[in-house]
Amino acid sequence: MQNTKLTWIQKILVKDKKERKNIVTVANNLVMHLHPARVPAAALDFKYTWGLGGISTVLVVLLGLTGLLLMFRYDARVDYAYLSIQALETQIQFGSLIRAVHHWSANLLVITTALHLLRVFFTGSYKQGRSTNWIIGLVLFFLALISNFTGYLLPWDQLAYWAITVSTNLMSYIPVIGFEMRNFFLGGPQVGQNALSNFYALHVVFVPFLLIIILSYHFWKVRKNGGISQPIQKENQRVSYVQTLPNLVRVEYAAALVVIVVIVLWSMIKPAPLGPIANPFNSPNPAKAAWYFLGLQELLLHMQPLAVLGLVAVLGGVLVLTPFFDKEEEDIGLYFRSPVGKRAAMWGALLGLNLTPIIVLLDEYWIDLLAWMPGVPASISTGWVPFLTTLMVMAVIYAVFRSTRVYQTKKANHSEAVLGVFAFIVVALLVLTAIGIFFRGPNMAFVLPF
Amino acid sequence: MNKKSQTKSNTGDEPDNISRRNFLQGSLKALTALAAIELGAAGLLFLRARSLDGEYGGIMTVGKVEDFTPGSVVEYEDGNFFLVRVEDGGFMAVYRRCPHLGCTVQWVAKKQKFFCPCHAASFDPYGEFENQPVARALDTFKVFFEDDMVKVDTSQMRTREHHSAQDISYQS
Repeated sequence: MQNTKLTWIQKILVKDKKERKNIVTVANNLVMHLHPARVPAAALDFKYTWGLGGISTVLVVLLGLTGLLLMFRYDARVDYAYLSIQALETQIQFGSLIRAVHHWSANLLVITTALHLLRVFFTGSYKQGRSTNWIIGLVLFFLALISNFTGYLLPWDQLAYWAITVSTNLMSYIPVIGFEMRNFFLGGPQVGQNALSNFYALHVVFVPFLLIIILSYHFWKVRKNGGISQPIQKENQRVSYVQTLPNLVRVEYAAALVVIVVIVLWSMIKPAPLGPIANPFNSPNPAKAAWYFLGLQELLLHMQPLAVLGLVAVLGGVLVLTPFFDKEEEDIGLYFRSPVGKRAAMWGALLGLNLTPIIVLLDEYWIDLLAWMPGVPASISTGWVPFLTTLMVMAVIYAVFRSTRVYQTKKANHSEAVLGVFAFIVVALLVLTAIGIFFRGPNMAFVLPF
Repeated sequence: MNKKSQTKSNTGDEPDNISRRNFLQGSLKALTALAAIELGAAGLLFLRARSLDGEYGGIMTVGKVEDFTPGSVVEYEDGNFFLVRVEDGGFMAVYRRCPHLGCTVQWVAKKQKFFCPCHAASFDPYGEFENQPVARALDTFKVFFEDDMVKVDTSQMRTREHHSAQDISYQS
């Protein structure tokens, strides 16, 4: 192993012997090499990052380990897949626990990566040359969803079968290539052995391989960008630094331990669900997608699939492009940018919280676009109309923030107005998801959860 | 090639002239790109070819004409269709797969409708769509008659935008 010596300048700067030793340790250690020897004290503030990136990383490691164990016992043939999962649940020692840890870690990963995305967005941390890493992060979030999605089919129970049937059919609505694309991923027109083989290969090799490479790049890029984002210092302020070892490493260890303990305890109480074996001739009623897709499923009840896909594409595109249109750097590292941004975000969130259920209820009991527009093709009346209306609502929210006094006498600037619209979208999606989870019963009719 | 000749060839008097080194480098890049395209295409073809054949069966004989009362809907799980005898005596074989996102529709006799449990799409007994998630009617199979027997050709599915009278078969 190579041994780094302190340079003369470090020797002058660092008087304390113990601190010198720690710096050498960090420099010589592969894992510690993720971090610089010293970090800004403010970067350790838990309430700034909530440790979400680190927690996600711990989950990825947990998923890798438990996934490897599960691979030894899983059989990716349609006649045996369900049986092998049943054996895991009932016969194999610790089988149920390992599967539960894998299941719950995967579910939690969707939450922590989504919150990580929100944190970065709300603190404007894609600014100051961090646009590349923002996009890398979006790709990673997408990969986390793909892993969840491909893993969802493997137990081959009713839930799995119909969730994958529905979501892959959604793919076939993509213009021109959609139909071919779906058949390509399924290896045929319907979910069967080919689809299971495909999803298995994607889930255990392809996606993890990509994930590891891109994740490494993500970490490296954080250091390359000069650490995590921080508010811009005033001229006479000096950043105070602390040693990575033990300050940062101690927090990381603690967070990792807490995550592991919580996941394992939770998995001991609640095993991963397993429905009845897949039956291609009978959809369960109601047939619901995985919970994190229920917001989209709810949208599908109100408009045509292509319109829903269009909205997702627009949102994805806007997220990718955000750093290139929002370049004001003085508000980086501050939650919600400014008092104006805070107010805009609050209004956006409140609007999402109230407007969404109202529109859902109106559409359920009153709005009937097909009947209101007789003679108009359904692709317009229940496709283009709701699609453009939704976009219009967002445009109006943006315009209102830009033109009215949001906070005291100030109007929102571009960055703050976008933040308000984003808060609206996030809360609206959350509300839709909650409706999908709790308020939809047999035949997708409204029910009360209590 | 030693260093001297390299610099000489790169800074030749005629800029249009491509040096041997540049040519070789360019060719190598082009060949690499070609190889990547070939590998990609081979990979796609390798994965694609598996299942391009149909998902449907052959011709099914479902029963005598008189066995079906007008206005009845009978489910045939093996054939993946509902046999509908409409009020005026005509027959339709309605495919069970929802044209929306592929779930299996269910016949709810009480309401005289097909319901899809996935996204609440509903269809009348003719398979015509009634609400917003979907944009077309349920697909059908061809129904024909031989010696008073009702037969359904499940080898070919017929898609349609809306229901029309032509989709109903009558025993002549």
